Amino acid sequence: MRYCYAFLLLTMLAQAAWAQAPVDARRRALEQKRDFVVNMVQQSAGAQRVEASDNQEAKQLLAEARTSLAKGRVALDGGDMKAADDMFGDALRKMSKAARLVPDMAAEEDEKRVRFNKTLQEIEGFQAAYAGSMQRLGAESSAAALGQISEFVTRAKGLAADGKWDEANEVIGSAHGIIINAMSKLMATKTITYEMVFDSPKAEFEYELKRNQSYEELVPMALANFRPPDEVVKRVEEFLGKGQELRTTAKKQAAAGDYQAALESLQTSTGFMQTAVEQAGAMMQQ
Amino acid sequence: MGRLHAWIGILVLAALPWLGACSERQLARIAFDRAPPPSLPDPLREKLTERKPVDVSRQWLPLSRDGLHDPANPWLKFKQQPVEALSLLPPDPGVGNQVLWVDAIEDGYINPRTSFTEQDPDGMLVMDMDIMRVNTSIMPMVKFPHRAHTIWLDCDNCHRNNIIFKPQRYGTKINMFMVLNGEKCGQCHGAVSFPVTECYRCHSVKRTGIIR
Amino acid sequence: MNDAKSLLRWGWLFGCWFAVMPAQAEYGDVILNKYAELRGMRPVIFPHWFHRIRFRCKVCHNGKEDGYGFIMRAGSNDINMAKIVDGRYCGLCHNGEIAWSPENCDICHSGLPGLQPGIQRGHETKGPAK
Repeated sequence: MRYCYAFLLLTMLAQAAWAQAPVDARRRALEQKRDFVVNMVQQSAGAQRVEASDNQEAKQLLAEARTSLAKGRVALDGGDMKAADDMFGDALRKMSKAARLVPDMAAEEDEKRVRFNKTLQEIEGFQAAYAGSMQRLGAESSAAALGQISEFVTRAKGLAADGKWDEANEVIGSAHGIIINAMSKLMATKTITYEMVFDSPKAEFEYELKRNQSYEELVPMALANFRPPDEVVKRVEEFLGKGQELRTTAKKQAAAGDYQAALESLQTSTGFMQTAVEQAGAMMQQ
Repeated sequence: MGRLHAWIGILVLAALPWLGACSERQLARIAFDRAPPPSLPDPLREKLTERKPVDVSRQWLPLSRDGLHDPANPWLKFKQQPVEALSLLPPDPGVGNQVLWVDAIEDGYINPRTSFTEQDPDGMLVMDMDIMRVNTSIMPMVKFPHRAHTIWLDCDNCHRNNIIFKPQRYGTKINMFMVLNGEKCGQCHGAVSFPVTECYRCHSVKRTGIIR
Repeated sequence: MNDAKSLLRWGWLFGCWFAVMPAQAEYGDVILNKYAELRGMRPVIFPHWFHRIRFRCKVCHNGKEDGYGFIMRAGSNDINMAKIVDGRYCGLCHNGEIAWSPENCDICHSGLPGLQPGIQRGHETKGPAK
């Protein structure tokens, strides 16, 4: 009985002790925040940029940030956690604003250059696709649009060569917009089907033959994996046999030049192969 | 006497979570009693009075119990709970965020910004064009809707560096292996959009002719 | 005495049940922990759903590099506090003007210790969430 009450007392003491821990944790968190703000305000790339710049507003903000930091340190040492946190937050906000007023020109230029090249590459890809689509969809050639795009691209490249990245990006952005709009208009509300296009019936036959053989290869794998009972194995082998027979017929028909009939036989053969795989246990859904 | 011990034991066990919560409340109290930080106006909060939650079959774990967020973090209370916002959007029970995101935009539940600041709206270039992918073996064919994607994304999110839509015959290699590995469609579907285990959302067109 | 024992046993079982209830992150949550825990902060949890309601994908995933946008692949963006304060990555909005400023450390740094970086709740495949 005594032990029960001792245990209860211990739990309550532990809870009281645990409630104290947060105060130290909070102080540690604030100290970490202080160190972070110090780093940002004294040593960061942003602070260095501001100091090296001519922007008076940014410099003013940085100075205010440093003052807030100092006030925050005083508050923290004095134990006023809330005031310290407010001051650190103020310092960070002002620092961030100052840094954003003086952007990193080198990095920005880099980024503009990379973006220009990407947009250019994209336009070139789209131009080729647009020409192809126009042909396929039978639309009248929009030579005007393509001409305008080429003109813009040339102009943009010229600006880029001079290092005028802002204008170059603007011009190439317009070109990009034109091609996108043209493609949108051409293909809007259409459905484009991506399917296999063969150069000759012979090529199609070869392809279908390979497909047929790939299903046949699956059968022993499926049997080894699923290990169905003997009657099922017999059935599988029956279907396999039928498929192989039809495939031989298909090959003969192809050799004779009748690709239409050959493909039909081959399709049926593939159907049997697929059934064989299904019977072995591999679920195939349609 | 044994029974009394047993009851005391059970009471202590039952009280432990409450004791733990006590410390958490104390921690919360010492977070400077700060007001929540200013943020964008919540686009759904204004609609709270108009729209009732759409159904009750969806559950979202509270942040403090989702196995990711630290419940001892006193600032956790400033993060919005998923249920507050997601319960107001068209339901998709059990899948991803359990919300039909495309329907949410098209039916006007949300109108996400198209640029960083509202004052500079960029607009979306919505293209209504479907692509049929026929080479899907025995699975139904895939109909890719540009419209649903272009209300969220820019062209160059996918058509960049010739990732998709290389202007060459068979130029773009796509197959399920790549999708399952997080490439092509799998870049988003399985990460932020509905997962690839929802087969028939993409494989939606039954084939009637030649199976390729 | 037997009743008491079985009562206690049930009590323990009950307690154990609650201790091991499964917890799952919200779909699309990204954990950033390349530097956070090494510097003594909690890992960062970025909730996609919250931002999706307010912004289209292309606003953040704008194709720009070096922090002027986000690359659409968890782990590809080298984010640190200096860049955020400088107005890049998260700092593109979290600058006190568009959204709240990074002085509110623990709203982002809200993860449990030891979280692995990556994107959460993917399907059971080798997709980007794994």
